[in-house]
Amino acid sequence: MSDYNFAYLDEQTKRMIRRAILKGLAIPGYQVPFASREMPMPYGWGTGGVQVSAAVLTPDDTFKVIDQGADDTTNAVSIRRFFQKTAGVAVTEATAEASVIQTRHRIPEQDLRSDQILVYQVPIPEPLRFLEPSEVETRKMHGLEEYGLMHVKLYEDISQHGDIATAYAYPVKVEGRYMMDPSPIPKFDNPKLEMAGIQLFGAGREQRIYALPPYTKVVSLDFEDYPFQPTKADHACDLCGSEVSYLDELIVDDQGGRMFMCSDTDYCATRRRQGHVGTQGLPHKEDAA
Amino acid sequence: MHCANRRIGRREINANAHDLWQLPNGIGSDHDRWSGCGPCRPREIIALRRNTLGYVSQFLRVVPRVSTLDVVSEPLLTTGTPCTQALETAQELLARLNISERLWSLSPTTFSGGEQQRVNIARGFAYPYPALLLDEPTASLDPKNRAIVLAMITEAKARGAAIIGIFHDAAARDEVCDRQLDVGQFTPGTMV
Amino acid sequence: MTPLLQVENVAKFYGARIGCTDVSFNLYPGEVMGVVGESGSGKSTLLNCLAGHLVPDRGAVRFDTRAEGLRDTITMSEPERRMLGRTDWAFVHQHARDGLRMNVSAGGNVGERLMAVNARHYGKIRASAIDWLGRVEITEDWIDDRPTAFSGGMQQRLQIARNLVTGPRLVFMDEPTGGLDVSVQARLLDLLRGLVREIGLSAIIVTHDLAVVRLLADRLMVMKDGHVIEAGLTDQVLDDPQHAYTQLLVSSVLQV
Repeated sequence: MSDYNFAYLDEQTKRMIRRAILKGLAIPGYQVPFASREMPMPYGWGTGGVQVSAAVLTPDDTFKVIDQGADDTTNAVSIRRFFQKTAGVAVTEATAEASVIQTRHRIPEQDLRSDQILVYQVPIPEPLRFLEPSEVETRKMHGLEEYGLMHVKLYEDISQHGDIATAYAYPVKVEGRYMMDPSPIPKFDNPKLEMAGIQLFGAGREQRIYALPPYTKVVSLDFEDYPFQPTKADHACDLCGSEVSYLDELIVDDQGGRMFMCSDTDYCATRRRQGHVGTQGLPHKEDAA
Repeated sequence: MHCANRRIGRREINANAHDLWQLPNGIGSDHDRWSGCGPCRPREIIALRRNTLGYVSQFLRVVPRVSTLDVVSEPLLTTGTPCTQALETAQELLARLNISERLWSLSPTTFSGGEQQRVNIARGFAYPYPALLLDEPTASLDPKNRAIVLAMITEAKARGAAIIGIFHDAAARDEVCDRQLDVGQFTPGTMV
Repeated sequence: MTPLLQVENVAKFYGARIGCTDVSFNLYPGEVMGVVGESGSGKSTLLNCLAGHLVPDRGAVRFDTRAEGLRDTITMSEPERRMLGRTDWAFVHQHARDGLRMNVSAGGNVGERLMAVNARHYGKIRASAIDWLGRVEITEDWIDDRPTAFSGGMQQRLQIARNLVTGPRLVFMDEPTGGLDVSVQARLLDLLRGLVREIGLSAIIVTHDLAVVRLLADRLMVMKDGHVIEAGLTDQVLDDPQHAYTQLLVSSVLQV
């Protein structure tokens, strides 16, 4: 048992955050303001996600953290240890075993179940911010459902790059009403936003929480003549051979050698354990991991 | 002095308007409306100016840097004439009034007084208004162009236009006018 | 004939100060009305009240809406008023950067109003943008450049294209030629005149430049200290000013 209150935040704060979460779930895609607290980490490192996680964690939960799909990066490891220490919850790297997953920039490849919660870290919750700097104005635009501006961003993409070049934080419309920034996940993940699990989005610095209840209708914006297309590198994973997962590109030497590998490390490792091998991968050995 | 004259002139027009002009479909055709030509009925006057009442003033007032051809064809475009046809008419008029073709693409603001006067006349006569107001149309013209302008006035009369003109030029007055009115009697100072 | 805009006793106060007061007029389709007066005379306040940017303290501003005829734009709901602002109304600011999105390309600027009324076909939006840039004499090869790369005159023409692309019926202009050099002004005036003629626009132009109103406006209102002191046909007011202040204004114009 640690000296901290369960999951670091005091009970009143957690209650306040839970109220914001409930409101967010009641109005899918709507950004609920909340009194974001100072956390023992810098803004931009996931303070919003951590506060949401702290508010939803119970002692029985199993917690998983991914950063760009990986369980073993600094940020993921620190946050996982943070809750291990302050909440004493069980942690895991296996998607299927986790009940609460905090994520930065990815949705796990494996489909989530209705008893799982996905918590996103959000840097800029306002999808209209790119074009309209005034918060007063963007709130009014949400209130009156004036979303023409969002298409201006996509128009700019096509005119500058010949195609919708927005590859992450691709704007979506939720239940035919609110325009929402799905956080900087690749647009490859956008179709997965309609899922069985509960999705909660926390922006610490911007003090906003929003949410998607299970199976909420989420539509990615597009033009009639430039339909939305989830994209990934046209390659298979060099480690596990998967052709359907989202890939990271890795430069491996000074001669331009490179390899592609799943960004979701748990997904990749699970496949390799099952015996799948990519072109540069070695057969999985239990002790090598 | 100039101002006073104008005001007298306006009163005179009010008095004579309804017996001189046959206006289409009730636009200002009753005397009550006409005498209220102040700000109360601007819409009717604007419509009247656009489609019915042409005006050739002594002063050329145009958007700077717009070509002479465009200046002359503007009244036609405003009244819905297709562009090519409007330009053709403008060319014919400018040629007839001896504005040399090399000037057509220039702005008339750079022209001499006589040239500006002729551009103004071309503009005023471009659209066949049923009624015309001419303010000293021959004032700064040489005899040859004066004759052309008088011919144009005669032609306008022939097609049925009602014209009120101010002429200091007695010979021109006698040549084109059916009725004459000496406004000298209205001039302040001579009233007594 | 129904007026396009019916203004009745509009008044706006800033505390005890008068912004503008007792302003009434009817504007009919196809008419261009000039509002002149010195700085602080209330002409911009009036324009902002008419365009829905300021809420007048008194009076009514009725606009002939397509669906329901004359409606008071002051008492209508904000979404309705903003909808008008995107469709039937246009507002041309004195400083183009107030009316443009400076970090969006010319094409995006023109297309925004189309997308705001649910145009969702990129090719068609772009085609309209090219068409309108052409009408304001900006060649197609500028379409993907940002307005920051444009000269002042081009920015102003882009602002006009952006405003007119949805075919508004009433345009509010606040000193549209202010701050531009004279040759650019001339071109802009010619352009505005042509557009008014071709698409039968109605416009209310606020300016302190009498030459601009003489060339553009059919009618004129002269304002001083928040009051309309003289109104009438433009040439009547300018050639035969009745009010001492108007006479002063007309006689103050520099002759070239």
